[in-house]
Amino acid sequence: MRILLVDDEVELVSTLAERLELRGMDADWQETAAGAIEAAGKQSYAIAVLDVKLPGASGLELRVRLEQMQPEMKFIFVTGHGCEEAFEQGREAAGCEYYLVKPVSIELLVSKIEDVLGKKAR
Amino acid sequence: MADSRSSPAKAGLVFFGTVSAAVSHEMRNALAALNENAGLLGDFVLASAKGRPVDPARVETVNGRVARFVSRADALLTSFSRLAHSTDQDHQVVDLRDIADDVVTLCGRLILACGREVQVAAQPGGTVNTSPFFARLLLWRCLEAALADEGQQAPLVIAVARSAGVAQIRISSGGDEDLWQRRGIPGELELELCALALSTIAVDRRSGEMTITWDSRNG
Repeated sequence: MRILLVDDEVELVSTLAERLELRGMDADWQETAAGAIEAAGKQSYAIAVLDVKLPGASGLELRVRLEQMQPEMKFIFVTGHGCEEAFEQGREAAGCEYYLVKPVSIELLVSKIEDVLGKKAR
Repeated sequence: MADSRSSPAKAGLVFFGTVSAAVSHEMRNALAALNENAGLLGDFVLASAKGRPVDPARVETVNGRVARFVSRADALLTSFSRLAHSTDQDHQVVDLRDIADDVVTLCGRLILACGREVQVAAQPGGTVNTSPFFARLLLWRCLEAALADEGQQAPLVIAVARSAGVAQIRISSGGDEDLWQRRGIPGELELELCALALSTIAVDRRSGEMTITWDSRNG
């Protein structure tokens, strides 16, 4: 059961992948929407953790593409937009339960991944 | 409803809000990266306590990442602080390179979102007497217009130069000869901003660059 992480901050997303691996999860990362689509064409993912703002395409747009490719895939969004209004608008637009504001603690992210996947992440 | 950018005051408020939101977003990214890398060091300590050796090279890598994010956040906040203080006085003697660097640094995420690269090329000695705030706003208006032009790939170059009693900021058109005319720059607002910034603005017919000019003898 693999996790796909997508964020244009390479040194953030690669570190996050390493930390999830240390917790027994299999995680791949990509820095662009195009890279994520290419990865999803080669590998099945149970869940994708997407940055809302990506160069060239939003995380919400990327979700649509990934869902078309892998309908069973689940999604968590993370964002750098900190205000309450943007948070609520984002959560509604994302249509998902988990829409997290950076910085996100690893414990919180792991618990959300486990919630979404029904404790089957590891 | 009136266009929120129709007067220098309204355009200034929009600019300050736009920049503040971009800086806030960037700082959250920096905090998130610092959070993850500090957390990874904690993970190494936990692993070590369980008897697994920690590779010093991995710790050094994390240390390097932390230093880079601190440096990036420092540059961002330096530019943001200069913007915040740019309204302290109506006019100040400033280096045009600082203005160009600040606009590119503060609007880095907005530039990235457009998929374009912006380069600053500056000669030394480009100090002028200007309104630091309205000079930044004027440069951003020109840059924003150029970036909004879809389909262009060439890097945009902001050149700061000084010669024969004038100092200039020149913004390339990325090889698009009709860019400024198509985008309506300079319009009425840009001419008002020029007056406030003690400068003039015109398209260089030979190079196609948008050229903002100051009398450097006052600088």
